[in-house]
Amino acid sequence: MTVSIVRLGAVLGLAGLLAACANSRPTIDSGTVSYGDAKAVEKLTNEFGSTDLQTIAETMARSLAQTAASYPTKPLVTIADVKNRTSEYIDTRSITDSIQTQLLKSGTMRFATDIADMQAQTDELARQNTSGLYKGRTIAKVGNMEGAKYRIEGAITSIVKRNSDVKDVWYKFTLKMTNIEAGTIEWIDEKEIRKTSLR
Amino acid sequence: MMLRSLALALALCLTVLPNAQAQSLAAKVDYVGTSRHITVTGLMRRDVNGFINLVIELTNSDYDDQEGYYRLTWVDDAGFPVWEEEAWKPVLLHGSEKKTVLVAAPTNRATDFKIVFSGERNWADLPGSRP
Repeated sequence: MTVSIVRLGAVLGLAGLLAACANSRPTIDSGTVSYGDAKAVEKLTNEFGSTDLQTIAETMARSLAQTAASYPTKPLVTIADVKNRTSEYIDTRSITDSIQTQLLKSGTMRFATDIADMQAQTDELARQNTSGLYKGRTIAKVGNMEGAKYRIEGAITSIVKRNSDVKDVWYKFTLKMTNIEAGTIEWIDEKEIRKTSLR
Repeated sequence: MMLRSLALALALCLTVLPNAQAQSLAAKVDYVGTSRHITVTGLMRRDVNGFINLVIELTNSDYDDQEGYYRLTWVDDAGFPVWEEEAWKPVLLHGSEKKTVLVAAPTNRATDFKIVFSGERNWADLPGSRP
């Protein structure tokens, strides 16, 4: 009888211990990796970073969206990759994508296929029309793509100065929208960012 | 006459938070912690093509340069967020400087807003409390 009570106590104790150790969080965790705030201000180095990209895209998209909202109909535009005129590597396609995303979400513009995506667009059109794999009425017809009325393009430049103690980087981002037929610049804006670090 | 009408129209467009400014301002600003040196001291709003435009006045009460961080939340009439969480933006104020920051709403669906501000130096700073 005494042995049974001791055994029962041991089993219950072990079960309680296991329950206490069980990980109720839905993670596989080594304890060395953590998720951070994707919107936090990044100040690890003074190279072009996530905060700069987010700030530039936000400022430019909002300024342009506000202008486009005054047009009687949503303008159809095409966007070119931002030109990198700095001395460092910057993924300018990512800046272009962020600006385009925010403009589309603002609901003030429509986008025609841009140069970067044109090959994929024409490949798909050709595949539907020449492969013989698709039902006739579902095939996207050739010759119906809409031409953009406006072209958006931008550039980023920088001036870097350094001495023995300090490195100073000044970025300037310019974005403009041109009327393709008339060749006139309809809108332009700039955003400047200065980053200074001790060496 | 035309000029007077234009001036009147502009004045109507520009909504300055007037007498109850302090109270209105407090309702529009959420501080992350208690900013030690930089505070939001003024706010003006006007709508351009249906987009809210804000001029936010920041004041540095310290004699040295101070840094802060801000972002906004945008909501509709029902108080429902109409835009994703914004990125934090850094702002530098020189000693005793007053600075105005211009901000535009991301969409004309936004009818109201809230400013979220954090100083680089807060009273009783908790570790990692800065964005």
